[in-house]
Amino acid sequence: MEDSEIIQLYFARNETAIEETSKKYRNYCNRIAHNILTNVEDSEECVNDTFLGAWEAIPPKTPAKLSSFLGRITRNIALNKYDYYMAKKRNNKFDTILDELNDCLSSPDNVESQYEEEQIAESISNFLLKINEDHRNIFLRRYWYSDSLADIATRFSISESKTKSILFRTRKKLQLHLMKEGYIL
Amino acid sequence: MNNKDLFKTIGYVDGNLVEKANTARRTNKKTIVKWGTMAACAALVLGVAIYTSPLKPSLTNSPQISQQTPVSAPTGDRKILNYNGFRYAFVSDGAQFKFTGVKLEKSLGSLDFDINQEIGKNDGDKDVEKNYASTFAVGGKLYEIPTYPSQFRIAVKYEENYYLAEIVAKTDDSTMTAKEYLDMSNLKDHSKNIHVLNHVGNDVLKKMTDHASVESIIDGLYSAKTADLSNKEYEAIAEAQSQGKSYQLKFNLKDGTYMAMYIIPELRVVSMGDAYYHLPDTFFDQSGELFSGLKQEVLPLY
Repeated sequence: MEDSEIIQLYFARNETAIEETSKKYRNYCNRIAHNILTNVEDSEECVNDTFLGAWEAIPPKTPAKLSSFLGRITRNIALNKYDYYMAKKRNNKFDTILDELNDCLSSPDNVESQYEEEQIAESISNFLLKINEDHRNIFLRRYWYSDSLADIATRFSISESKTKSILFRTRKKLQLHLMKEGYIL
Repeated sequence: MNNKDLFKTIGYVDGNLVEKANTARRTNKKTIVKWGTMAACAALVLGVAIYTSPLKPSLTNSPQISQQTPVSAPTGDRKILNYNGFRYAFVSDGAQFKFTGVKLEKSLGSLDFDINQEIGKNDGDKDVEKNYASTFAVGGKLYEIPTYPSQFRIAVKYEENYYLAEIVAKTDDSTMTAKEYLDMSNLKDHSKNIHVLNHVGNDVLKKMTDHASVESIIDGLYSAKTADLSNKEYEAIAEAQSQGKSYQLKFNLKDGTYMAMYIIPELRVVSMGDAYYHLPDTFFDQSGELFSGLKQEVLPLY
């Protein structure tokens, strides 16, 4: 079913909307959740919550891209659950991803941001549009989809060390870009 | 803001970029860069020669693939080969091609099996899907074309002549999505302009040369959905073809070759390789005037 048709079902408050969403996007969301939570049951629960979240959000929201809209909800829910689930069993892999992002911040423990996240996200999008396409996709695979370095290396037919170095340089460039744009994060 | 906030914020980046990254693989550009670097190295080695004749174009020419012999009449078996799980059709029904500015160095094996003979055997049918089986140029050697690292197109060398083969399907006939096809062909990077022709392809009806519009048409094709056609729909396509409602959508590529699809605007279907795909109405809304007011003479069916 086309995304636009699925969204229409949400607007009509027709519960098959969730069924159709699940058919089309369960695997997609599951992978995103699993990359963060690394546990099948937790991920499934997270994805179910995602679909519920979509049901509550549409309407009033009309997602331009249903895939990234659902992916974003999944990430946010997974991130919230992450602290709770991981109190004892830390996911080192995801911790590494978060640690890497410190490179883009001026201080890892910065106080409340004075900026709207949409504003910063727009600036990050502009940055990503300007850089090499492969570097952009590698960045998004790592920090949007939370892919492991090994998965990214395989996907782009490069070595893990090359993946690391591309990510490092891109993070540093992003930090510079955000500073130039006036965002001191 | 801490790293978790930043991670969340990244969640709000442009959905189009996120979607592209979802299926992204290494782009072609890398290879071009690599070739560029190799050309630069060659330039260093040949520094003096280049210096004395700086305008010599041989090293700066973009790779070209040119057809050397006319398209033969489509008689007999279709000229196809199997490689790496894909069925390839010989471009222009087995015409010979010349590769300029492209080195065919990476061997991909040779065509060891003759599908025609395999079919004749009692248990031959199983070999129709076999890699390195072919209906044409059996014994020929396969080479990767550096400008097609995805191997959407490969070269076949047979009796000192070169042929070009292009993916049309998977050998097990499993579904190939429009996205897979378009990504593998890297149509967006390769395309120079688009022509709309009559179905048989001898009359150009419309041209689209503006780069942004060409890109937008190709982007639109990504929205095509695999069509699991019923017999009725096949009949409708055949009828549309016989009534002059099917057009050739020809993508002229930077390397001098082209890729052709067939499109039937009235039925909202387009062919890519051997498969048909449904196009959403929005594709036609966004394609401007490209498909409006088209007319062609209905040709007699043979």
